[in-house]
Amino acid sequence: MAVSWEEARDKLRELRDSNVRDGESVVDLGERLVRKYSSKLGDELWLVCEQVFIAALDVDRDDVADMCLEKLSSNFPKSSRVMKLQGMMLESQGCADEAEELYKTILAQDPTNAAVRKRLIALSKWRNWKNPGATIKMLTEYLEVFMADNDAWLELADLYIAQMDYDRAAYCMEELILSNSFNHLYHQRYAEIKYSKGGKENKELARQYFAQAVKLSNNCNMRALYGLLMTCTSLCGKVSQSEDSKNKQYATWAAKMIAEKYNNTWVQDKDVSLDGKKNVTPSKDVPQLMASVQQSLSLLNLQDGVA
Amino acid sequence: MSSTKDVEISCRAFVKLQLHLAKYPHCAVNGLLLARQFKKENKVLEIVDVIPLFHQCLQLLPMLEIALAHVDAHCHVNDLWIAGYYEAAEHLNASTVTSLFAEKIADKILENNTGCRLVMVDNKKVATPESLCFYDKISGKWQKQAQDKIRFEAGCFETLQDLLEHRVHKDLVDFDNHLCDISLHWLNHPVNHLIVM
Repeated sequence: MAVSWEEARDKLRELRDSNVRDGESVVDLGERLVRKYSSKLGDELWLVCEQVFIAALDVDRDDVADMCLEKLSSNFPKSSRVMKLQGMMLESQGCADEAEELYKTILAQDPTNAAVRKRLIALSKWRNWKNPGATIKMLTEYLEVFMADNDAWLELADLYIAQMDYDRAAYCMEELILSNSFNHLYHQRYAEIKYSKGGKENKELARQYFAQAVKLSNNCNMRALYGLLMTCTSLCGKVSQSEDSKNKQYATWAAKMIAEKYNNTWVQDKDVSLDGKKNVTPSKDVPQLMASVQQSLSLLNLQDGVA
Repeated sequence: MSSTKDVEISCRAFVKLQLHLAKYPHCAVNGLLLARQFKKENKVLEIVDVIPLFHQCLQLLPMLEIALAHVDAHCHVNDLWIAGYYEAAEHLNASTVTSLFAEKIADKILENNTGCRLVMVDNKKVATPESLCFYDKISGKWQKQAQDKIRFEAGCFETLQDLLEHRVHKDLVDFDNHLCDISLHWLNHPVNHLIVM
């Protein structure tokens, strides 16, 4: 059951690289590593300390957070990166004003520190949860300077989506697609936004972008496949006859691809999936699940008959 | 004006809803409540299951429509109906007043499912039964239902504590997870088995 320190280190590396927010696992793996094996980690110790510190704040483990911050502060007494962590500690204790002051001090010395500016925006998001406009303003000002920050554009799009401001959210995604034209996830999200906005033209645009996302993902993006099916069926009957037959054709293709994917995952693999890990869904449940998939696919295609 | 039915929530429904909140404490989440079709005429609305839906960008419609089609099909096959929609806000202090979007979706579900409820989650009371605020549409408005009209199956709180201690919330699958990896299913059979045990 016990994980060796090497395994723990590798797992933490994996979590760092994949950007998954899983505080519980990180603290579980990292606490022992920082306490007992810090000499073995070499310079990686500091990355692990930072990672475990943030995770500890997330799961409210002040003892672990204190330990990590102490190690970092004593080793890097003047680092702005460690000062940012001190600010996050203040935030977690509810001292928002003190944290803001600290962040502003760091920025006074180093105005281009993007991470700290983003902390200020996060702080504003927490404080002004009733009024996202203030946060949106800060984030747009940030993006005027740091235009290449994809995560910030995505966050801005999310803020607009939460307010159902689909036009502005679409603009953010356009920026992202321009600079990352091969990322299928951005195409898919743009299509979802356009579909949500509604109207024939937006749905036609959504169909194009879902189709592009399907292509860029090698037919692997399920959201894009479903999206293609949805947009095509909902456009049926609302466009010219030649367009109509094309839409039917695309919808049929997408439905076939989706059904195939479910077949490959559930019916042929039995209890063990291709990469060897045990399937979460027991095989005796598969017939019922497949029936419900078939039913829902036919339900979606039905709309086409009604229209 | 019809009088509002009392609500009874099964252990399975309560636990799965709370596990969904526990899996994504930093996100807004939503999902659906299911009840048995043949008990529709009963005096009490019995919620028997919950389908966790999304934890990112709730306000985008395409995947929500897909999810509703899937859940509809599941209901059709298993003699169930969609008896409610739940939503939890991202911010800890967010109020339990119905959100514009939640009302829009609940209204849409209501069109085909008379008697469907809207549930807003009180983040500060989470994991207790009091964290669920039920709303019923009465004379054109979503109105809050008194807490004493909501009953929970005995033992559901203990079961939840037990599963949280074993970190079962990590294994809970919502529709977002399903779309990322379709081998994970939103019916959560593995978690259902644990709740029965």
